[in-house]
This record gives sequence, C-alpha cells and structure tokens, in this order.
Amino acid sequence: MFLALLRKECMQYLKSVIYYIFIIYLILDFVVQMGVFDPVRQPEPGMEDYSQYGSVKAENPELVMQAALDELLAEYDRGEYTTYPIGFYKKFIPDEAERKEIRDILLNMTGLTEEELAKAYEDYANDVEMVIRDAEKAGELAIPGKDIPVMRINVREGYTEEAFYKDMERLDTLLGGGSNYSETNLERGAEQSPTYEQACKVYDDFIHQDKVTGAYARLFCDYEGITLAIITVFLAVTRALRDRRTQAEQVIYAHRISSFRLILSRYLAGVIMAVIPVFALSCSTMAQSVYYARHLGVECDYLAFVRYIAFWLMPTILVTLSLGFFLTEFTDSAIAILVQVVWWFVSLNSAPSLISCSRFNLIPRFNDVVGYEIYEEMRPVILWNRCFFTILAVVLLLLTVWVYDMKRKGVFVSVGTRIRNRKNKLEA
Amino acid sequence: MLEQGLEIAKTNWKHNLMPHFLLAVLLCVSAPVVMGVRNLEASQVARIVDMYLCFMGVVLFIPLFLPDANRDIRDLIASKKLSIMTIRLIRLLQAFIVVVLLLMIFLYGLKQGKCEFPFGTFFYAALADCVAMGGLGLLFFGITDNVVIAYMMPVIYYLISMGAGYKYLKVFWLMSLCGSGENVNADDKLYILSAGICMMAAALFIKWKRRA
Repeated sequence: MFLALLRKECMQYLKSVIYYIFIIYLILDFVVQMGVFDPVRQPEPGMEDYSQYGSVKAENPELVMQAALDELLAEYDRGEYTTYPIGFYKKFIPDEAERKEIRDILLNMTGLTEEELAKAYEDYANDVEMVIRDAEKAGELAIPGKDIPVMRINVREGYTEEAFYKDMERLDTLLGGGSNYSETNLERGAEQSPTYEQACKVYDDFIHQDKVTGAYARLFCDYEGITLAIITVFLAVTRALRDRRTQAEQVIYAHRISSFRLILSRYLAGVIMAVIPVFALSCSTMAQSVYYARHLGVECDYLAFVRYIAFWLMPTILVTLSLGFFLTEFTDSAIAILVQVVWWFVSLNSAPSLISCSRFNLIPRFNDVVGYEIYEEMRPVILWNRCFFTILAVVLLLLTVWVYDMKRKGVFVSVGTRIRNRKNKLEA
Repeated sequence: MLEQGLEIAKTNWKHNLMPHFLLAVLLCVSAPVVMGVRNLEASQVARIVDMYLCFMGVVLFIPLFLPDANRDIRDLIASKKLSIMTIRLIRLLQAFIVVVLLLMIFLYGLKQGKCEFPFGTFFYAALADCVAMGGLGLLFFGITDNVVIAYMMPVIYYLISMGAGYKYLKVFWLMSLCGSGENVNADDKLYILSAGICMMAAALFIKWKRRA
C-alpha cells in the first residue's frame, strides 16, 4: 500500500507545472555550465604556463609570512581591515581592545617592543612625507606602491610556521572571518602555477586516482549543487500547499493512513522526482568522460557519477526538501521559498573560493576538473558536511510529521492560519 | 472616491502588505550584518543593488494578487460596485510607494555611511531591478494563479543572470550595473524597467480578462 501511495505521489509531481519548470531550468543550467566538454590533456614540457593543472602552495613559508606581515602592517596603520565574510565587502574597524590584540599579534610576528613598533611607524611616516615633499618640489605626484615605499619590517627570527598560522587564525576570528588572514586567503596569496613535474603528478592523479570519470563527476556535482540548493525547495512548497489549494485538507486528514506514512511518501516522491532528472543529465557528461577515457586508453570508473551524486548532491536535495516541507506545513505559506533563498545566498557567497567546503555550508564547492590531492585533503570535511545535512534533513522531516499530525488532530494551528484567521478576508 | 481608495489602501496595508513590508525591512536592516555598508566604492554599492536589493521587488510586488487568490473571495469582490481592477491598481501603487521609500532610505543610509556613488543613478537602477523581478513574478502569478510559480520565476531569472549573464540576456541582464565594472552605468536598466512595467500591466490585464 505504501508503494501504491508513493507511486501516486510521484504522479502528482508529473502533473505539476512547477516540476517541468524545475526540469527545464536544470537542463538550461547544465547546458550553459557543462555543455562543452573540456578534456584534460597531458602536460608537455616547455609549456609557458601550467595553471590549467591547478595551483600549488608557495614552497617557501617565509614568503607567505612576510606577505601577511606586510599586509597587516599596512592595515594596522590605516586602522581598518578588508573582509569578505559572505562574499560582499565589509570593512572592519576595531575598537581599542581589538586594536591592542592586533598590536600584540604584530609584536609577536616582528619581535619588536611596543615602543620599537611605534618608532618604526614614525620613521615610516617621515620617509613617506619626505618622498611626497621631494615629489612636490619636482612638480610630480608621488604614487603609492610605486614612489611611496611600503612599510617593511622583517618577520622575527625563530617565528615558526605553526605560530604564524595560530596568530593568523586568531586575527581572522577577531576580524569576523573572510579577512586577508584567513587560511584560504593566505594560501591563495601564496599560490603559484605548478611546475612541469607537478603538472604531471596532477595529470597522473586525474588518470589513475579519479579514473577520468571521477573528476568530471565532481565538477558536475559542483555546478548542480548550486542549482539544486535553491530550486528543489519549490517542489516541496508546491506539494505541501497543494492540499490547501485544492481544499482537500480535511478530506485527507480524515483518511486512516498515518501522518508518518503520508508525509514520508510525499517526501520520498519529491526526492525520487528531483534525483531522476539529475541522473539523466549526468549521463551526458558521463558518456563524454567514458569516451575520453577510452580514447586515452585508460580504465574509467563507471560508477563515479552514481557515487558522487549519491554522496554529494543527495544531502542537498534531502535537506532542501525537508526544510521546504517543514516550513510550509508549519506556516501554511510559501515562506520556505524566501528562507531557502536567503540560506542559498549566504551559503554561496560565504564560500572563500571556488574550491572550498566548510562544515556547515550547504553548498560544497570544487570547481575544477583536476586537483585530486586537494579533494583528498578536503574529503573529511566534505564527509562531515554531507552527514550533518543528511541528519538535519531527517530531523526536519520528523518535525514535519509531528506538525502535520498535530494539525490533523486539531491541536496545532499553523502560524499562517492563525494570522489569516485574525484578518477579515473580505476586507483584504 | 479618494476616501474609498484610502480605505482600500489602509485595509490592504493592515491585512496583506504589512507582513511583506516587515520582511523587506528585515532585508534592509540585515544588510549591515551580512555585508559592509560603510566607505564603499560605487562598484561595491552596485553589487549590493543588483544582487541584494532586487529581492525587495519579489517580496513587495508579488503579494498584489494574494488577497484574491481564493476564487470565492475573488468572485465576491468582483460582484461589488468598485471594480476589482481599481482595487488592484491601488494595491500596486501602494507597493510601488513602499518600494520607492525603502530604496531611498536604504541608499540614503549608504550615503550616510560615506559610500561614494551617484544617488540618482543607483536609485533608478535599484528601482528597475525591483520592478523587473516583481513584474516577472506578477506576470506568472496572473497567468498561472499559482504563488509558488510567481516566486519561482524571478528566482530563476536571478540564477540565469548570475550564471549566463550578459552573454544570453544582453540588455535584460539583471546585474548590468555591477557588471559594468569600475565605470558603473545604468544605461541598460531602462530595458528591464520597461519590461517590468509591461509585465505588471500584462498581469493586470490577464487577471481582468480572465474575470471578464
């Protein structure tokens, strides 16, 4: 009987215009983002640039530390710090206590005392003034960065990499995150194009570790993850509002079926109908990557797409549907759409780069075909992230069942219904 | 007539528009929390206008048809002396005034935060974005009578603008202000403003024709 109900629920989606809009948008988005297959070719010696094989961290950590110190000295002098906590620019101006803490970090990095640091700034200000005055005498304008010197104090001897990253983490937290001192931005600032040997290693991983299809499956999930994190909610909201729209609520409430089976059948139907077009779309990229693997004469992983969709995209679909069902049942309105839009917007814009995943970000990113080694480093966090959202999806689903059951019993009146009943419908 | 209009506006505000107005205010006040609103350059303000403020149009314009979404209520209102079209036009005007006021207050707030941008141009661009997003939602609400589709279409338009951008949308690209680089200009906003107005008019016409 449950299967019959599940089949009926799946048919409900097939009758919905919104489902077809969902599919059409998925197809359009896929064609725009992944319409052209981009093969990864073997690196050749003597190429000008190997950046298509990713980037590598600067081998000399002292360069990273000095670059960070130069930046910090400049921002400390200005009294304001540039941050991008969710992708939008935010200027952080510290209060006195925060300024003191930043000064302590500076003193730790330079090995100077407070007086020596203040003297260094005074000397720098005098140097700048002299440069500007000389330029004015010559009838010219002193250009910052070119004529006006950058303040330079060397990192102290014995300042370890461990101490540096600890200080930078403290500083980034103090600035609210997304600053020039976050680990991602420090590493990005110190990244460089790989050498021929490093590019060969990357290519080797692409062939033997990712087995070609794994790499393209990951890229597919990156693009589709962004789309599914927002448009899936419409499937949930439309299904949950349908009973009210067709004025069939009371009829359905009177049925003998348990709230759990009813909600579960709707939910699972939503999951199935959302995943089917995703798998269908993946066939195109999979076929191209399998063909490319055969062309290279290498073994490919035929199950890569299935695995990546199940582990990377499914939690996004599950939690988006769950939130949609829960908020719609709780409020009897379409507010879940606005909530999901906000969540999606913050998630997408708070990713520090196109290859990143934090524990609580709905949208893990890996916008590159190559980079298996980086993916392996990120894997524990991605796993944690996906498990978290799967559990959250289950919790929200159970809450939905509870709310629905309370509504059936007449114990719970949704927030939306309460607001509506206070109003005079005819007046409005 | 004027008194009747004011009475309709007052009732619409109390029973329909106010929760959406509060959502729009929440959108505005959360801006300083999620992003910087002080000492911004024009290109940074343009990003806020195109990628953030445009949602105000979705929140405030789409509820226009919500009160008479119920067919029975719609039939009852249609049977009254005052035409339903007049009521809808009053609601639309009310939503428009709220959008204008909120945009002006928000941009004024940015100016107070020492942000450098041409106020008139950016107000015009923000209004165009809101009208385009709201108009698109209203059009599909009018055609389908489905509030979920009404919200879905502006979101899809936003996603297409983010992804495909100028390449496929050309002059109808939502993010043309922040996409114009350092020398921000709002020339292309005329097209989406015009399209938004046309879509709103079409939505009202479709609703009226359907009733007739």
